[in-house]
Amino acid sequence: MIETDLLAEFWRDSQVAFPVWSWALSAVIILSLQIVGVRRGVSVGAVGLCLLGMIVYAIWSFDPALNESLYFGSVNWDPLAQSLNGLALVISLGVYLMSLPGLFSDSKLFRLNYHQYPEFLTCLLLSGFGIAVAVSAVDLTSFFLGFEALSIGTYAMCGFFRSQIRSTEAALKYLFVGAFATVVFLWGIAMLYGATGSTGYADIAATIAVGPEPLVLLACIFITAGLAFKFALIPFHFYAPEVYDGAPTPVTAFMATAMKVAVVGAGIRLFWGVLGDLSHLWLPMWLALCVLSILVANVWALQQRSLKKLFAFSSISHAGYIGLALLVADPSGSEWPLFPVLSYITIYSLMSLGLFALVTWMENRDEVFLIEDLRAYARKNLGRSLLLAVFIAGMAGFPPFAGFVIKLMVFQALIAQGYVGVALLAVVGSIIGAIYYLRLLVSIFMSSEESGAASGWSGMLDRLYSIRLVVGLTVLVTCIGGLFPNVFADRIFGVLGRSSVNTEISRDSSE
Amino acid sequence: MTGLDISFYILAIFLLGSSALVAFRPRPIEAALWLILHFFLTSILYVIMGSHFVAIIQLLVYAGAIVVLFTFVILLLNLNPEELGLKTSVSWASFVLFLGGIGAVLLCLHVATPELLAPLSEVERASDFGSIESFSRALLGRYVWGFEVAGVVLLLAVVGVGLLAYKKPKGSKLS
Repeated sequence: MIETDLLAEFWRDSQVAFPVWSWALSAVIILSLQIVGVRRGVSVGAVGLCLLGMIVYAIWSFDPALNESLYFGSVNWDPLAQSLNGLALVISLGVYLMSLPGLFSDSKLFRLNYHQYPEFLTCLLLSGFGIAVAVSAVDLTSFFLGFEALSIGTYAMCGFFRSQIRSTEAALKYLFVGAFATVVFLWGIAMLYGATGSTGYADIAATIAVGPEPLVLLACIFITAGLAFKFALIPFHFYAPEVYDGAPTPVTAFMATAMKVAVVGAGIRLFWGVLGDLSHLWLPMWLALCVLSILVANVWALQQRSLKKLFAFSSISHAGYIGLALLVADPSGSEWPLFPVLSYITIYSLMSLGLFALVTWMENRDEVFLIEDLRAYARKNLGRSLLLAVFIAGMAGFPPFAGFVIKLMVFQALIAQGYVGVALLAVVGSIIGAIYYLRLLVSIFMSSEESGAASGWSGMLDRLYSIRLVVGLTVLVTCIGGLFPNVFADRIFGVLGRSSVNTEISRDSSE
Repeated sequence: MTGLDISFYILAIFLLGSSALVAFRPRPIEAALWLILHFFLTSILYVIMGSHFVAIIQLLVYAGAIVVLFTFVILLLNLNPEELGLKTSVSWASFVLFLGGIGAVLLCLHVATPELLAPLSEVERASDFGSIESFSRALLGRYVWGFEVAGVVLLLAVVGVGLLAYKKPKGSKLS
């Protein structure tokens, strides 16, 4: 019977794809706990256990040889999906740990809003599900739904501090802009479907290879624009600074990292898997967006007063570098195409997590965190200032830290593929970027004026040591990644890079 | 020109008219009622194309659920035209201009690409095209993953609304 065959296949696929739907399963567990009416602490603890369990399972089940098409060609469970899913898990755990201390805060804002912390965490888990779906999607429907799940969860999380107008405003802005981006996405998807008659990536690629139609070209433009929206590339970035500023800081960290992970996963599959034959069409557009982001975002960042807006512009410029790394992920161009983009997104995500965890730890949520608040912060708290310095140096790409190595790899890959001019512009951009990072460091360590407001804030009470855990681990990554890049290269990406393109060790790690 | 064609053009005129009324009536609730007429006419369009299932879904989901939601929101907000700053209805000139403009664009499209509106040939239209059985087979077979993920997205939307809009009953203590 056909029905039993379908069921058997569905059951078999579900076993392989467990890491994807376990996100939704944990969310349902938390919701059930809430419905039963357990104490808030129990469901919050259950979220942590679920995330830890999923991370353990993701590591245990990681199989670089696995490359299976599941659910009738909707999901491709391969090393790329596995590793990005793992990264999404780590990010979600980091965000969870960062937001945890708010439970114990005495401030009115936190007491009022953390009443709904379990719902917040459910949104976090389901957004994570969206990432897992988006990075493993090889079908336009699941690609779109994955991004929707991720976006809707993020809109809701942005407005978590309901009693604060900044947070609500961020949620509303993000919702409106995000809805617009969704429409652009759908427009492109509809045209791609209309031109090729199928939603599966493999079928679309086969149709495109025969001969592109005008509709496919339009679809290319719209899908690139949609991805640029989600990626916050200039000129599709306009919502990012204010949304990043208004959202609760752990959510800012989630937006700055998780969205990029999803775009990287989906972008690699879409650009190089489906539209690879049309790279002459979307490549110049994407290139221009990335270079513009690197240059303009860094210049705009120079004029910011709010710390989180500064970091938002910094994350826009980083999106530019990741976009460039995506661009050199040409499977025919180099022997190890995914290496720069995956190492960049991983190290960048961990650095951002640490940076925002530190901001969560230091900030006074009732006020906007201005840059001048940090003046002479080192006199008050040298330890935190040094940690902040490590992250800032890492984000800026100063040599001993991991941020330098990943940028270097992108530049190397760009030059190796003949984009010398682009590489030069990117270098110029990162030099401009270094200015505001340096200015921040100078203000923290060398200012002789009286201390800024941040020195007076008591900051978040980190009772469970969760923020310190995140900051400590990410500082370790930022330092080791720069001092011993080969550790990362061989242990983490070596397996992945080798398996996905079947070549021996690349020059980057063998040096 | 067959009877089907003629009925299509009559239907098209009514469709345009009802959509223009949705846009130009000053009272939101009136616009919502015109929207219902619009959805009914659209579903007749689907019947002409031979997909009965989509026609039913159009009525159930759009006219049944979404317009009810609209109406609900409108009643909840309780806006009247004075508050919206609309003293009078929009002038007839702009109404006609709008209809004429949209109609001209559609006519140009129709003339330029006649194949867009051509009915599906019998070869393309399988015998069970649009039937409930083939639809559910596709939904729970080829597209089962998307179907399930869509369910999760809806769940997320419900949770998100709860997160943003839930009000604690008065008198309950902060935990």
